[in-house]
Amino acid sequence: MGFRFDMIYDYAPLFLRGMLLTIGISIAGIFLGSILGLGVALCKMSRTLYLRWPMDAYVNFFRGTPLLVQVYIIHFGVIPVFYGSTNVIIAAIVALSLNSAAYCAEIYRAGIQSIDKGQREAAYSLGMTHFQTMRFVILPQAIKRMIPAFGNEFIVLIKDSSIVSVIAAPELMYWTRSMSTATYKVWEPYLSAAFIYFILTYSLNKVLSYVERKTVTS
Amino acid sequence: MKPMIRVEKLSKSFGSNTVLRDIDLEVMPKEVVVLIGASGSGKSTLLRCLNALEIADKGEIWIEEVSLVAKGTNIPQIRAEMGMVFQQFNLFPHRKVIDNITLSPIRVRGWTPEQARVKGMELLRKVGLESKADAYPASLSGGQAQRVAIARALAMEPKIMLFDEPTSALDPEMVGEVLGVMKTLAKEGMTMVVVTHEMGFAREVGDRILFLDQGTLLEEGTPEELFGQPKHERTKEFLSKILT
Repeated sequence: MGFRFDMIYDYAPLFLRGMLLTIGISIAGIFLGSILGLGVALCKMSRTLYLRWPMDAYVNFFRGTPLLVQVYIIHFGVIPVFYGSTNVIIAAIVALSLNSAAYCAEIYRAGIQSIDKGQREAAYSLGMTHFQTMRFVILPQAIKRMIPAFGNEFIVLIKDSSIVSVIAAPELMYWTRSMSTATYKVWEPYLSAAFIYFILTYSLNKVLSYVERKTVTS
Repeated sequence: MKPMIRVEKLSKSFGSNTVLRDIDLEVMPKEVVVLIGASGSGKSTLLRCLNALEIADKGEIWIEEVSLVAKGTNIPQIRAEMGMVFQQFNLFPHRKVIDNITLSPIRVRGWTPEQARVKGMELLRKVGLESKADAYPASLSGGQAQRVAIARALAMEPKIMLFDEPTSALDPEMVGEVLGVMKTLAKEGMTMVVVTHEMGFAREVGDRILFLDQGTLLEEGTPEELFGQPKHERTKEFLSKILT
């Protein structure tokens, strides 16, 4: 019995639908995770204990527990509390964003702390506020150094988005598994999924190395 | 005339290490005060306390009658009136020379970019670096970088300039060009507080020399008094070491 390309062809619309949702929740996760992560990082570096301590706990929790567990907690526990019922797509995005924010926060913190303290002092001495110093002096320099680390984090996020198939979010892995169950096939669905994930991460990688080249030369 | 800077009983320690003890100091408008002393004597820390880059443990600092240590003081606003030049230049490497200079006037003073650029080019002319306006700091020599740093501080039109060992990180042949710019500033009547090891500069430009030793203000006087007839043994010892 040969490799059934025709079956993959039959399931192509479902793969496509799944892939689009995977891209959607990944982009949402990357977007929200990197914004939240900046806030978390700034709080973690704050001198105020009331900001620092909760954010420390937050980062420790999300980095120290499996994403799978977080997805279940958010889907069955957290979202129903705020939303009444649960919603798989919202739960998936919330879980991935919160998880990614914890990792992004550490990337921001390392990047910000890698900038020489003379830069901050020079900005302060010119009358800039803390916010202006971050916005115009520290972050523009720090973000360049963070790009490779963010690249890694975003690639991990795309791959980890497959975990939300356990709460039946109809993304790529969900349709892959349903094809496998329906057809009793292994190679066709899983190799197709692997191929699609690879294309996604590979393209992201290319985009990021382009961005990195651009920012380094400018 | 009211002093530009007034310091009373200022003390500062880092952990168990006392860096400044009961410092009293007044700087009058247009005065050039030079702080000298061995490394670790606290002269840089004193300078950094003056614009709140270090926070004193005890004592009072007034900048133009405004207390720097009182609660609710708008520190950035006070710093905007005081330029500071660092040993390591601290130019912003991601911005062109001209954008280093115009950043704060635009963001803090609210000038238009055109206005700031005109002022910036004028200052670059003054420090002899007009041709470097569109260069990045990485392409400058140490002396050029420090002159840009001075221009950047002057762009805020400060009333006081603080210099923290501005020539200590420079190759010897570049010291002169930076001191030259500082001399011009002093002649124009800028109020200056300078931490330096350049005794020739101190003697020529300083109105008053302060000698710090182990965190205390041991001796002060005009250049003639302090270099001519130092009173304290420690001052004599320090001067004999540094002047040979």
